[in-house]
Amino acid sequence: MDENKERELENLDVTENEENPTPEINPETEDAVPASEETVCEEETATEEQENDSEEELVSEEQEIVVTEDDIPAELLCERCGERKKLNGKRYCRKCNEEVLHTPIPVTGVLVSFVAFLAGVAAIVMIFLNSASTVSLMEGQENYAKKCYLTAYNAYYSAIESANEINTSVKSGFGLSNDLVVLGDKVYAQMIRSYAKVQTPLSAGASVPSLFDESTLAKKKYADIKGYADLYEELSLVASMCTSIINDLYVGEISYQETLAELDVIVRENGVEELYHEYFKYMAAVTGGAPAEEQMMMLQNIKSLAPDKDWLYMADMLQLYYKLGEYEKAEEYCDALIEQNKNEAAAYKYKAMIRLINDDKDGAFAVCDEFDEYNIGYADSYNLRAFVTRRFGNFDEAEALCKEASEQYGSPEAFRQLAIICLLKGDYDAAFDNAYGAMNSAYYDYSYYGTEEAYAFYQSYEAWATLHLTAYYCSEFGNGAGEYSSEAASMVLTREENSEDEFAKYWQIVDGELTLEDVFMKGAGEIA
Amino acid sequence: MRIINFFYILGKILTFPGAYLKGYWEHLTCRMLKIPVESKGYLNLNETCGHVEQDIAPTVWKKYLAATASGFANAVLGFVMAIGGVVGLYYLGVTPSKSLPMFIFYVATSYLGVSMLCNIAPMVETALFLWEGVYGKGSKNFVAKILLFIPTVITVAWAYLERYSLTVLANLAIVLLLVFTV
Repeated sequence: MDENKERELENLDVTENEENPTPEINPETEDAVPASEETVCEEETATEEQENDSEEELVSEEQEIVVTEDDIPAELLCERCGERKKLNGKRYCRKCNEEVLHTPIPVTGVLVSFVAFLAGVAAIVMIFLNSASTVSLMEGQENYAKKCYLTAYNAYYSAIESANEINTSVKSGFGLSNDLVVLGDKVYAQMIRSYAKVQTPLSAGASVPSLFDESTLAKKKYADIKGYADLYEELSLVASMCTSIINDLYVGEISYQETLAELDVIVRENGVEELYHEYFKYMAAVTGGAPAEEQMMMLQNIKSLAPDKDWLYMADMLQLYYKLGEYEKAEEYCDALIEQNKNEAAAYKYKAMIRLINDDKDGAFAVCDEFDEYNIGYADSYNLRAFVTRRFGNFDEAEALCKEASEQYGSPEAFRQLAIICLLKGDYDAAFDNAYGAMNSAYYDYSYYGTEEAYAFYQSYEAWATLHLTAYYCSEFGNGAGEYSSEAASMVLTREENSEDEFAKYWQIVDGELTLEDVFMKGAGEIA
Repeated sequence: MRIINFFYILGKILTFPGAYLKGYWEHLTCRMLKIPVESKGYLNLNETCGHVEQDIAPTVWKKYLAATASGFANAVLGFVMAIGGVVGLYYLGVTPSKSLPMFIFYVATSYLGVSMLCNIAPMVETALFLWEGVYGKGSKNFVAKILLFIPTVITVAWAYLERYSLTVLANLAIVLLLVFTV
């Protein structure tokens, strides 16, 4: 029976209970709370818990609970507003966190960064445009400091050329009226200073008026440049008058004594300093073929009048000491000239010749090494070594050096050295071709490019003596197979037109008193 | 300390373009890395001049980027502008008499470049947070410890140099040297 009653109780209609649920009694109040309301409360608690656990969860504003400071401990309050509870692991509440993550960036900041970017782009463009000139200027500065003045001058000249080319291209391409690549006065000043060391202050002074204005020359840092200009201004008129008279002497219109007399008149009338009077007299002595001893006396005079103006006498005194056989003094002057200008090729050559005269083979090659150290990229580096190598009979090696110099640099001196080697090897047609080619190359370089080295070569005794000598051998002993062999006969010297004093060694060779080996391998002649 | 602050602020005023841009780049970097920023301008006359107040970044790599990315932008732009200006003034020797527009351009780019180069490092505080993040007690990122050693040392050292305005003094000395050898 009991079991049946229990079974009946268990089978009571649950449905009836679900539809009309028995209200529970809220322990806090005596009022009954419907089960549906209880479900809502449970949902609300769960939502609050979700809010606290996840900072990323989106919560509707209706469900956000704002509480006062009294309700939340201070350490849990937002550090920014102090009102709301801060997010887990954060210093700020959700609202403040959003604000600090999206702090507005000022418009001025954007503008300033844009301007800075444009300025950076402009700077890059200018660096690119200035790069060629800048590299050359750096090379010029470096070589000027090392006293390689010819290299420095070439570098400064190259910088100016680069700037001009770029400006021309930019102006024509973009229609600009102003130069973008601008070189300051300091660049031109350094170029002039280098040129004054390579040539003379007088030569440098000729270019100054075209490059600098009066206000620039008045500055203290350009006082030396002004000095060059003043020297040129002082002497240019007198120099042109004296040069004209010396030229008359050169062409044989007046005699040496008449030239000296004319020079005296000019100097007296124009109030020229005695120093420069002596200098013009010396120029006349050289042109007139005065004895070496007389020329040396004039140079000694010049030196005593102005020992600081060594550009007037040093190089010439070296040549005269060598000519007079005073090799120790000549070598002293070689060292002094090299110390002043590491690019002084003539000084190195004389030093090498003196070492060869003393039979110092190692010493001669040491001079070549010293030259190479300061004169990279010059034809003279090959020419000097070829000259020394040829003197010791290594014709093939010397020939290779000359060919390299002639191919790379078109050097007239390389052609001349090649001509001498061909003479010694007995190939007279090739010898004349090379000598003729040397003169042509020098003439072309000077005429079209104004190369001063080419002009100096074209005017040199060595160049003409080599040409005449090879012409003689080609016309007398050649096969006529050379490119210019037909010209050889017209280049042979005649005794009537050419004084025996002027080409003394040439005539000694032609007359058989000296052999080619004596001259070109033992240094017996003036043709080196 | 007041004297240090005085020279620091003076240096920032003298290099205000670079300081302003440094603050801007920092703000931009923090925005990209989602680091909270309390920005009240970039040129405040206190130890935060040229910087923004930023929260500590959560990871070591974010700390590193927050400390250095803005300085890198200033360094690159500043270097380019400084080189462009110095080449024109020192090597080319451009003067107002030769070309006034180009002279003004070179002076302006030199100044902008130098001012940006004087504002590369973060605040000392930020740099130390970086150090702490990489080598602090809680840090276990060995890759970061190895890779970031040199950059972190440089960043901390440079931050101190800027704090004591030594970078401004050094750049000023270089500029004066170039000016008087022109």
